[in-house]
Amino acid sequence: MKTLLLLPTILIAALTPFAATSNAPARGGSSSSGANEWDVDSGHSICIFACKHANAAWFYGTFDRVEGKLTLDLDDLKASSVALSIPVESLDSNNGQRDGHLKSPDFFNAKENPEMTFNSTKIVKDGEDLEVTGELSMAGATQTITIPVQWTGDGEMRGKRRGYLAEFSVKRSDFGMNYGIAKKALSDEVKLTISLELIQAK
Amino acid sequence: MDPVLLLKGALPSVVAALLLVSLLGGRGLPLAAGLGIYLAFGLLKDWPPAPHVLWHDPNGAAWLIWGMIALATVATLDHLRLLHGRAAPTTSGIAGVAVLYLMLAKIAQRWSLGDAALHLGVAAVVVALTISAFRGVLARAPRSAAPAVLMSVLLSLDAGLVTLGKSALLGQLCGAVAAALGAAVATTIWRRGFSLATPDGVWIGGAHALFVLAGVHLGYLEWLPAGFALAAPLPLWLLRGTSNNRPVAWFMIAGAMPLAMMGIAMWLAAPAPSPYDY
Repeated sequence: MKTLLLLPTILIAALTPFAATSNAPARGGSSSSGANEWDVDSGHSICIFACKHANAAWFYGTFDRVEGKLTLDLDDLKASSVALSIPVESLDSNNGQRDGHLKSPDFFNAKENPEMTFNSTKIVKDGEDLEVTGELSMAGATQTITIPVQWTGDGEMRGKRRGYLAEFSVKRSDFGMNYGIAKKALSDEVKLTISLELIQAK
Repeated sequence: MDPVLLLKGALPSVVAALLLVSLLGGRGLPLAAGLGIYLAFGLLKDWPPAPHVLWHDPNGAAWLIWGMIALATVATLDHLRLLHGRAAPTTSGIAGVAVLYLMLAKIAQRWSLGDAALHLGVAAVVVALTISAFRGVLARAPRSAAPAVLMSVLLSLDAGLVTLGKSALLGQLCGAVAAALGAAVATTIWRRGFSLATPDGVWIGGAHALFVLAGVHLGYLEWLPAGFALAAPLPLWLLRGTSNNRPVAWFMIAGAMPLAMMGIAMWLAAPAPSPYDY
């Protein structure tokens, strides 16, 4: 009798890891095959930045609009590409005066350089995630950077959807934005978090 | 404001003006202002790319620096009497408009043809008229330090106004030009009297108009305060005759309207009080 009672428990315990695996998102590389064209769903994507103020605390702001197109062939990454653009006017640091200053020639020089752009030159797999190397342009300067990109899931809602998350840092001085660095009023290092929701292009 | 940043902006102009005006007299001042603003830009941001680089990859603020150097060169040629007859005012006006065009070239690419014609056309007229007005004013101004003091105050207010338009960099660069004028006045302590002359109208007038327009187009200065600032020197044009014997009276009369208009411009540009400082 005890054996009969134990059997279902053992079966459930044994199957639990598989059940958990099947609920988890499939691996980025195997969830799709063949070339795929994806558009960034601007309504569900965001770029968050963090900059240290007075060498004390990180303050956060957002770029509310992220636009772009991706071609993702996870079986042939050489055929894949990422092209993103972020309108600088969508900057919001929760302070109108600071927003204006950040958009001015002291920082982003938004009137002359209204968009930040990223265009990939190389994409490689890093386990389940990706490493995307490309040209990041802002404030009239361009730097080559490599961004670790985490695949966050696949879904279905009015079309196939896929999510990615990138967290990385840049030195703003590399883009000519030196204001406030010397006195440590604002840190040179800026942390960026980009959350992308992609929708398969029709 | 960070005193180190203030020094980086103003000190090169002050040193250059003290040296060059002491050595060359008033003729050295335009070059001192040009050198000072170039060094200030390099210390505050980056060394401005060379013009041939900027031609392919424009940057308005960097063009403004080279533009001020070009206007200073025109003024120096005029001081040295190398521009004869109508060549001086014509070259001054053309140089000012050319600097304006280069400064706005990148932004203008995104304007419609109509907007470009309107913005560039109006701004070109403003720059040419301002340079002409400043040349006229300085031709009739007393031969004393009073006009330089007035112009220095005017450009300092321009610097404050552009800073209120959200760009500390442009404000500091304009302040660098004002600092050169102020330092030149200081040379009267150890050498014979210093005074501005007609050729100085091109770089002083150019600085006034171009920095206010840069504040609007490159920064976030609103048109209403900018309009007051651009119109501020116009009452100077109405002054007739010189008052060599009464420079202080000239300063009071000449300065009253422009400084009042600049005060209104700054009041209009000042942000609403906020409990949240950033």
